[in-house]
Amino acid sequence: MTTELLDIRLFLKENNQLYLSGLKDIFENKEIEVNIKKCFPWSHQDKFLSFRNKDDEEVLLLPDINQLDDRSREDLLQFLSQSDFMMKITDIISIEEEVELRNFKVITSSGIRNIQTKLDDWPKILKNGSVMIQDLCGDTFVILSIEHLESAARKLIGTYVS
Amino acid sequence: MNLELERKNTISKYYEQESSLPKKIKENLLNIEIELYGLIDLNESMEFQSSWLVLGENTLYLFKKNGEEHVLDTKLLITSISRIKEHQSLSSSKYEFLTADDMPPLLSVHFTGRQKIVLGHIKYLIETKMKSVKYNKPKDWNPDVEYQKAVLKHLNEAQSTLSDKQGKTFLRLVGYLKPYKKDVFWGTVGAICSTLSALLPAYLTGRLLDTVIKPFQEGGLQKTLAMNAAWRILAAIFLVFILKEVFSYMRLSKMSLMGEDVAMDLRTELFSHLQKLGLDFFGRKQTGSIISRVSSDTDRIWDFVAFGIVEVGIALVTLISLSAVLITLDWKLGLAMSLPVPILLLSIYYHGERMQKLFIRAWRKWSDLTNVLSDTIPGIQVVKAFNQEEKEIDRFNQSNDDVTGEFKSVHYAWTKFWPLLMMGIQVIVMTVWILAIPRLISEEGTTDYLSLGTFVSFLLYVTMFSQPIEVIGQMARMLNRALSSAYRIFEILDTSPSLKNGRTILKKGELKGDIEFKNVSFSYDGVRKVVCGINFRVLPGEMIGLVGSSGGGKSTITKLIARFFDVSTGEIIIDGKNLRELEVGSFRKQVGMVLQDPYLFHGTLVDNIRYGLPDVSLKKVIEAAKIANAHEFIMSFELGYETIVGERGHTLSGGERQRISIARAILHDPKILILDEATSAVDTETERKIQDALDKLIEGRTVFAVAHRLSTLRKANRIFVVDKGEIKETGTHNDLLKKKDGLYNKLHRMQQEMSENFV
Ligand SMILES: Nc1ncnc2c1ncn2[C@@H]1O[C@H](COP(=O)(O)OP(=O)(O)OP(=O)(O)O)[C@@H](O)[C@H]1O
Ligand SMILES: [Mg+2]
Repeated sequence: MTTELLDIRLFLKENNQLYLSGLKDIFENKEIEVNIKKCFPWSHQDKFLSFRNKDDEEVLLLPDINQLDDRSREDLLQFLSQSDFMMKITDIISIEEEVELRNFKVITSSGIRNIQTKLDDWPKILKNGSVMIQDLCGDTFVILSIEHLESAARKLIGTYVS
Repeated sequence: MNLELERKNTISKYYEQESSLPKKIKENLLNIEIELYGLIDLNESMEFQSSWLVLGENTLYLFKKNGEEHVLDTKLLITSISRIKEHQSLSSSKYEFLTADDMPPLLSVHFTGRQKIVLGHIKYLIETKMKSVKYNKPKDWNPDVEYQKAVLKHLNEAQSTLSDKQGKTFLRLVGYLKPYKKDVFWGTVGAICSTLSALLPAYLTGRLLDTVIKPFQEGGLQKTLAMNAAWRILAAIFLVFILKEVFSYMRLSKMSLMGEDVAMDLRTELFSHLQKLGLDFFGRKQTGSIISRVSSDTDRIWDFVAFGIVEVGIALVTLISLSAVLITLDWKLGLAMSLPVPILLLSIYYHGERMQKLFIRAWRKWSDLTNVLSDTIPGIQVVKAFNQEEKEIDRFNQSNDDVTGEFKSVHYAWTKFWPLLMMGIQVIVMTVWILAIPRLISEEGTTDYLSLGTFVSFLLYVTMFSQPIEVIGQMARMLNRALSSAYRIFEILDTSPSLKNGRTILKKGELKGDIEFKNVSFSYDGVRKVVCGINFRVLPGEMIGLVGSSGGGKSTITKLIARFFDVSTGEIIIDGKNLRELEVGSFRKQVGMVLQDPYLFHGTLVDNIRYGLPDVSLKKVIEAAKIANAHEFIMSFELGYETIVGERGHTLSGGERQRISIARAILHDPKILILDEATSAVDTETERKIQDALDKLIEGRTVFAVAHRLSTLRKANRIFVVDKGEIKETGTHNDLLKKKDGLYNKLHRMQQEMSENFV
């Protein structure tokens, strides 16, 4: 894919909000505060970012973050790193099934946690080999690579992702 | 069990988080009325923690954990907040409390999805306070209860009976046998007697050898006497066989019939309970899963009651009495035979546990396969339209291969284990032989002597050993399956209807149709508000048009009026009474709905039109059909009103279905009429006809009509423009047109342009 630079600027202000300027036609170069939603939050993290204004309306769809100049990209990445958090599972202590529910007891990047999914919500395996578990409340937990888990944990999860 | 205690237990069991605000914090805020609180379970570096956000009348507090104690960290006056900004990431959310847009936030908090509903409530409460809208809390508001319910919402939706233990479920299932005590008694008697009588023939055979045949062969018994004795014993054996079959007939007939009764009771209870549950329940469970509970789960219970319980009982009785008999016959051989049995049972059990893992894998692949099926069969039109048959075949074959692979490994594990188990039994039998042979060949009268008859009885008993072992080995799994079926059934029975029925029963014609919304908000999932703070009053006989962008909340407003869902906050007042006080059934009888995609039941047209009013005269049915402009097309079918429409009415066109459903509404003569895009699926000519039908229909009723084509609403007294869950504009067609930059004006302009461009 060709990545031609877009003529826009992004910058973080002291209040930790991201601002966008340079959309001549629509906003006459005014700075506007933006938020970011990803079109493919699981599989393509740095492609197709939707920039949204305060009313949650899209002001710009960015196909690829490489289309930003270096400084804008840096600010964008820093902004994303604050709001773009995904819990990583580093170890699995147990997986138990009961009626309608599957209980995982896991150690995550944030600490130890019990998570529940529905029985028919199986962990999803992505193309890049990572495994996604979405719990009942909608939070996503990711296992970046099964190979790097302890062998006991690998055995436990193996039943669900072979 | 006390509900609050139950909620608390569930929260600590599944979430390992506090089930209410820590006492210390409450003591800290003694003279403040706590409106609501929530747990902030992530800190700035995204590690789990437990801080608490507490909302008072006009202040917001954040308590952070310092060692064992929670200490006040931040105190914010609501008036200092200008906006609460929300960030959502894949595994957490963040609220920023801002005082001005270009200043750093006063406070930011991170939390996971579990806390989101309760914190969303807090956000909403703060926002209403900021707008200084008067918000009346319900009288029985209790922050503890609100916190617990919000935190448990997702969990409870996935499974309603979290706190039940297996033992409790089993007892509850047994409770369903109560009405059939007599059958249970006779069935059990049959089972025990048939088991015990099965033990006799082997014993008698041994006796025959020891007391008749051997003495005769050794010359100690006369031939005729021996013959007589032998016939007698044989007759006894035969009698025992007959008795055994009679008893087992008794057991089988009683138990299987009773099993059917129990299954039927469960089905009846389930179905009538299902009818009482709200739409939210059906929205979150898959139809297939509900259907399978009424059908296959109850069937499994039948299996369990009819055979399972008894087989296991029989196996236990057989094993114990066999061991007892063997030990009394000859204690040495008996012990050699019975002592290894527990080891066999254990190995079967552990093998079962291992198999469980394989089953989970197979089941996962199996659900992939059924997903392909349930995707493509109902969607076959799309598959064909996009010429994807080959691709779907590939997809199916892929899943099919996977499933077969998994099932093969299941069978592989079984086939490896089974011969091993049998080998174990053979080894025991060989041991018995090895112990027996020297004793058989020793002199009669010595202490070790074993008579031939005893040994033959023994051999016959040994053949009876393997079957009960097998049954008991499978018991754990069978019990598990039956219990999980029972659990799934009880789960539905324990789901309480989300709507509390009111007491006031409306008689026919008693409803006037005065509808008022007071500050009504609503959310389907507890997080995203679909209707936000709506106020209006509609007088009896008024026709209201609802227009606005797709997804704006129009249909939701109409569903709230029909009380398919209860409002989250605010009130709906019907004829001066809160909608919640009215008895739902008697109210809905006087509300008619014509939906965009009307549902017809499998059956004749006439039955579909008079659904809910089976006694109405045929004349009236035809009149209603005529008003709905349906009569003509109905008569074009060979069977007229007795034409059978297929599942969901798929043999009719969209417009035809709509007209049937309009006829249905006309027949019901409702006081409040809801038309949700009733004319969206038809051509202009038919729309005109339906429009005429509706014009006749709306007289003397309060009407809410949702429409995209504004021309449909020419008769409306007022029009509400709904956008993003709010009513943005109201007024008559002409009023609204006067607002040059209004939403309605814009809509109108666009529709005009479209029809102009067309010419
Ligand atoms: N059963 C449901 N569960 C969860 N969300 C729902 C449900 N029904 C509707 N919604 C959501 O609520 C919002 C409002 O839906 P609603 O059906 O009221 O819109 P509408 O104004 O009638 O739109 P349309 O003109 O397209 O029919 C939508 O965003 C929709 O996604
Ligand atoms: Mg709608």
